[in-house]
Amino acid sequence: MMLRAIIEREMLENLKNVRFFVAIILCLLLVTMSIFVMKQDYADTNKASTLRDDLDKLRILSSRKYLALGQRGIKVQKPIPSLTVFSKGINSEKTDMMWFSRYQEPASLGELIINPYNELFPLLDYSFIVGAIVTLIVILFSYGTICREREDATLKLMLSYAVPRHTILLGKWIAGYICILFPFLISLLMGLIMISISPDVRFQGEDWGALVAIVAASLIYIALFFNLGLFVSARSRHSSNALIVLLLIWISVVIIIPKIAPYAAGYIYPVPSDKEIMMKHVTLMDDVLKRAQAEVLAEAKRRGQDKPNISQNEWNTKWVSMWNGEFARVEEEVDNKLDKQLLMVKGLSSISPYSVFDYIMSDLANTGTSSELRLRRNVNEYRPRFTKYIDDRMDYNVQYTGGAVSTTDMPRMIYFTPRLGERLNFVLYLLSILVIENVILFMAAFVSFMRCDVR
Amino acid sequence: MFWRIVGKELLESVSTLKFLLMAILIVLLFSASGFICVRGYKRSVESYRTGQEKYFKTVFETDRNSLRFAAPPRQLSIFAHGLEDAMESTFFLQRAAKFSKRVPAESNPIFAAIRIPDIAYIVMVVVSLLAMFHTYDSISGERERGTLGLILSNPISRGTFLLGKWVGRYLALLIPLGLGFVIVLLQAQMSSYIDFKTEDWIRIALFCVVTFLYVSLWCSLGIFLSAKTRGTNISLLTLFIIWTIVVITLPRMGMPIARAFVSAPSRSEMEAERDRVSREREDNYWTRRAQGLPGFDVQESAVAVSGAEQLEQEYMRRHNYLSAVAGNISRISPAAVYLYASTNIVGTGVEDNSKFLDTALAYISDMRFGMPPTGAGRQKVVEFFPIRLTDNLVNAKIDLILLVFTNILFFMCAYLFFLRSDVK
Repeated sequence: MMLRAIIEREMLENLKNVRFFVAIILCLLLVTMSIFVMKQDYADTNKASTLRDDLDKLRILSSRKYLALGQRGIKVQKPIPSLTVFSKGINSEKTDMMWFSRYQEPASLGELIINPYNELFPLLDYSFIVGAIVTLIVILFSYGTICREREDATLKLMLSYAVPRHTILLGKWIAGYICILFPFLISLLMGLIMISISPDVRFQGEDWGALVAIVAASLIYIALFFNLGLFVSARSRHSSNALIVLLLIWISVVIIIPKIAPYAAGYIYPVPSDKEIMMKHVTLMDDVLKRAQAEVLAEAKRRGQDKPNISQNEWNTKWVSMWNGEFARVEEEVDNKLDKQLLMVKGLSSISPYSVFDYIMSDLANTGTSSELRLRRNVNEYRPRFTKYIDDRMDYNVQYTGGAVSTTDMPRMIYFTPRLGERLNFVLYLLSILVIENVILFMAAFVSFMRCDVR
Repeated sequence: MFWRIVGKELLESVSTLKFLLMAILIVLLFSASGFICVRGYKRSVESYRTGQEKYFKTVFETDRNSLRFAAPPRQLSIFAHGLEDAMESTFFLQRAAKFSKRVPAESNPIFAAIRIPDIAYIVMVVVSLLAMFHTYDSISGERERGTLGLILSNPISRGTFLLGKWVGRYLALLIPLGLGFVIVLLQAQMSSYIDFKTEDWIRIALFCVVTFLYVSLWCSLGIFLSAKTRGTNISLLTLFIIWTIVVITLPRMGMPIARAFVSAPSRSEMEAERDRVSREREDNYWTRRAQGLPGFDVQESAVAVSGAEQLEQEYMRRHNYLSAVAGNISRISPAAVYLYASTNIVGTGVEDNSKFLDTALAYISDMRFGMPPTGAGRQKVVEFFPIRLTDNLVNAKIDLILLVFTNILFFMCAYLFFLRSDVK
């Protein structure tokens, strides 16, 4: 009964305060605006991507020589997930498209930066709005929860009644949290309505599941900052001190750690740079050619021939198969190193709940690092099939009439989007970090409030 | 009297715990940023050298389809990274695609999403926030404590008092900032890869001036709101909301707003059109061959190529326009203005990128038909001359004027509100 009275009082107080209206306006403006902007961006990118896909299919179909097709190579891309609207992650043309040819190793194809604006100021997505701005609003709601009452001397008054401290804390928590969720959920709902009436974005069954997980993760994350505010508020004597401490924590958690930690991890566990790997490929190629030559010569010697009797095609097949094996080995080595570095980066930046939240968002939306690695692995698996297809037909003497060669039987790469269960499995440990931090902060706030002086 | 107020403000600011924390944070961040950026520069120099070496030794001799055009990394990018990454590109000269940037696959994808925390970023986001913390209670705090009435009972004009407060607080903030700059410069000097010339020193000095202007803008804004609002908490809240809008939201809204008014085709749309024209031409060729007519002569081929180039140029022209409109819209935000000004001054700005792009495309056009037969001949064409300092300053002039103007505006507003405000 008492709990209800406290909740009602707290809620009324919050609703009367001007900051509640500021929160509603900011949330409505930013969340809906970001979803709208990202929706447009998704529509444009998706259109461009579909067109690019059609264009490549047409280019392959209109190839007049297998050799030319092998030289020109093909572009493969992963479909753009519709949940990009919520988290752009590392999705960009640099990462969602790869190119390779019969003779060139797979490479991400980036475009020239003809539009520098996007490089300087990337778009605001839901993940950033909730991760950075909504948490600011949460801080504004929570910094004075306890210390302002102490400043106004109402805490003393309240505790003179027969009401246990934990009931007060719980009441304040529930009321504050509901008051934050209200503007947040309203604006999210507006965004979702915008998406559902838009013809550009179509969510499939699993996307809705991922969306539910995204909202749940957002709620846990918001609760974490509220608990933090409550804790600092219980420990501070003055509300202005609590606000400054919270804002300093906010800067560290949202701006500093997510920027600095990955570089620190990169320093602790360095991986060879792009160009070093390229140079390694060059020396490896030399090595493979020399070895293949030596083997051919040895074979000729064994058979008692002066010169090796080997056709161009046989020679090509020989060194290419050797090269493919070596290339796969080097790629695997690099992949392992990258995986380890990635783990290190994620581990170090997980000090900041903001980074954890960002990883959860991008993994759920399938726009994170795992999706990029998946594409690279798919390409590495597919490339030998493509090479074999071209090699088998290279000698095929096409009468050059100008007509296209048949490429209908060419193997295609299929990019499998991870299932929802797989994605959830991936973010489970990240979610548990957030939950544990929540529990710890609430416990800390509870202990601080139990021990605090009411004067 | 003026200097006494300045001295009092300076002493009062420096002796607080808040200032100490802020100073430590600024110095630590500058050091970390300097460390990351100097190391990043070293890596990109190594990468550039290896790339050039590999290109001239191997690819150059054997593969005529591959053209490398890259500008050497700029030393001053350690201060403002800007579009530095965009300026190291490898171009592929292909039948179907004239140019594209090839980023090797073997890079950790996670870094693609993280902008390097250079000094300009630290100043733009963190120092602006700290400057705000530093000044939000300068007038309203005195009013709350009741000391404002006391000071103003002395024979001192409100203007002198306000200016004294501003100068005192600002000077206090310059101490950790200056220290941070010195540390970054020391880190740079210790690196064997960095060797500043006279022009670089002038650019660094100008970068510092722009940075100090930007910080002073936030100080003026803080004092303005502090004079206008009654309570310290309200002025802090208001400042915080303004900061969120000005630093985080507005700069990123330029492009979405611009896109609503300016349409620009996507690269795929342009390529689809180019492919369509090229396929028609090819079909035409084979029809002529089938009829026993000769194929295309050189002149006809050149016309076709220039047609494709025109499509690309139109595509780029539209995007340049879009980018310019987006940039101008985002100039509402002083944070964006600061970023444009600082990147222009150190040579990693929008203009530098477009000059790089123009040179690269001209080079590729030259190479399309007449590749010099020897490596030395090609190497000669590849050189890229960065924009001169004077031209960079001309490019940054609007941003510099805007920074000075907003500074004066905020201070005037502070003065006006302080004159009209009640001392109680």
